[in-house]
Amino acid sequence: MGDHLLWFVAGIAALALGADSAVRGLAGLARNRGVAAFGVGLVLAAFGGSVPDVALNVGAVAGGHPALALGNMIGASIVNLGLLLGLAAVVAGPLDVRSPVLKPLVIAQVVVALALLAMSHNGRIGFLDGAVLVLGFVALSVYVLGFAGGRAEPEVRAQFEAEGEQRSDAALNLLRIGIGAAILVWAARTTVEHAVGLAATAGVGDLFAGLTFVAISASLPQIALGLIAAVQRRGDVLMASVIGSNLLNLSLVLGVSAIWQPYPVAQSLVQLELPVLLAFAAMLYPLLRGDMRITRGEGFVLLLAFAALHTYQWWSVLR
Amino acid sequence: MLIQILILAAGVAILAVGADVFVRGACGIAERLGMSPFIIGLVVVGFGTSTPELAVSVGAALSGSTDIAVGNVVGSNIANVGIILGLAAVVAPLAVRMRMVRVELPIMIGISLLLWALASFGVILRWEGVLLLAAFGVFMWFLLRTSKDESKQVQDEYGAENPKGKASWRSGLFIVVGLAGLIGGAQLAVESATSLARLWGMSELLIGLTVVAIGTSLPELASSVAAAYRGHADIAIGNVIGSNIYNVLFVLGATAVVAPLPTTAPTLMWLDIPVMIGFAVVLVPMMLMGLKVTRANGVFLLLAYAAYIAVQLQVSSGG
Repeated sequence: MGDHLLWFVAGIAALALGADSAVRGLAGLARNRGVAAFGVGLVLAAFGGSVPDVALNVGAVAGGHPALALGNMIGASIVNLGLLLGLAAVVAGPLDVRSPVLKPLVIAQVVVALALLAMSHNGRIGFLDGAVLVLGFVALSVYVLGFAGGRAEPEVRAQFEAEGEQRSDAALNLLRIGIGAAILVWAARTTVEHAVGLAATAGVGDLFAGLTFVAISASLPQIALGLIAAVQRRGDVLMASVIGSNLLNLSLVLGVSAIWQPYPVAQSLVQLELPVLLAFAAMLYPLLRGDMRITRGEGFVLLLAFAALHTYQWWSVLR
Repeated sequence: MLIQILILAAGVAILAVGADVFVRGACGIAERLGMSPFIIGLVVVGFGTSTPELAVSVGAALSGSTDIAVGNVVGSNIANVGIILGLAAVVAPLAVRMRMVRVELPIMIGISLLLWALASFGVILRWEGVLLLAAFGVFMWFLLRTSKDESKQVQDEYGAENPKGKASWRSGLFIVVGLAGLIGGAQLAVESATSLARLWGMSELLIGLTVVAIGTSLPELASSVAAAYRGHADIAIGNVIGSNIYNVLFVLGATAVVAPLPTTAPTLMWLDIPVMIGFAVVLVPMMLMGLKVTRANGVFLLLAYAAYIAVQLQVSSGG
């Protein structure tokens, strides 16, 4: 137990470090090749936070623990919507979102959650389902890039440009990418192995581990960055991080994994976590409607719902 | 069979009279102790009129028929809103205070959801009963603490409901006699209802949901309709919301401590508890709209209750 815990924590920390190094390297290299700071910042904000999740997912699927991977993807998405958004609104006060492109993405997130629920009803997410998810992600990306390139407002543009500023020395960045990737490979394997060990000693399944403690720990860096963005009043960056990483995880990563090897989907997932994910995704729409703002009170409700879900999950295994 | 029906009617009548006598005795004692009129009204009317449910459920658990306990509480909560609040609103439209919508109603919705979560595990364990009782203690402490902020007008209104103070020996006698009537009547009602259920081939759940639930709600019905007629809307609504909270926290908590309660009755999870939650949630827009439960709302509640009983009968006779 103690050993597993120690290595798990080390793995999580290494995942965060490796992801940070690799992401900075990639961003700097992109700036070096002449990509605009806005574009780099947008991609960084949207997908940077899910690099640890992606690495973990690859490690878990390759290591023969698809339930852990699936649980982590869904768990991390719920963490983003409930814990991160809720905490940010409660800590930093009302979150204002200005970018109009986020509205269709909120709806896209609901559609993806709905699609996952529908696909899971036969007990597996297979090749065809994966292909649909990946195609959906590609279509969405093309739409967003077209939208964001043309119509971003100056205020929003400034928020993302600040994100995208990186040192652009090519050699340094290549080194960062190399080191980051190496750390990620080791960290993903270590984390998966000891998360599974922890789950076994605690007497819970891989799926449960992925949904609960693995999802929260792997999201800690993203939560920290999100809170900083919220305090600095960059609501669009925070929102892009939440929705971007959820769409990436739930459609592209899940889709690619399912094409490679179908996921078995447990009944409990269809009954509890997927509907909860759908509810969280759907809740954003009325929250943002009209004032495009998440108030402290609304953040508190999100946090409360998240706490209730996790209490319920632990309660159901501990009794 | 006729004898069983007579015994059931007699048991329910003894229950109602016993509750009334008990409440009057408790009022006298409370006034002797110098408690504020508001506290006497809320605690005594809400809590005192819930004692029949407590007696029925604990009595059922002691005699080993635990199936009826959860069904009784759920049915009673549905009847409280559907019949009692519905009828009270038809008698006279009920004005609502904002505090009711902001504090007590969300607590009632949250507790209904909590019951759903607990019931989903198939059995409510002893230590979960202890937790419910602890939550009940916290709720009572909260009520007493916040009651100091209540406006003078509300306090007068509640105070007017209570009979003038009597000699304390008489109040004590009332409490003893009332409790005896409650326990004896409950015993009679449960026994005759159970044998009637077997005679007619109905599930114990259905009997708990209809006959016993309505029977044990008669004290609430009488006091709420009378309060509405006299223009004391706060008491009618407070009584219903208070009773529903007491029913889950105190009645089910105490019953589960006596014996673990199975929640595997066929319609409980997908019909009865969701209907109970629905009746709680539908009150939010009703009360927010003009801070009033109108006659039309009352008719709607009554019709919804009738529809629910119709579905319940259909399901239990068909399946």
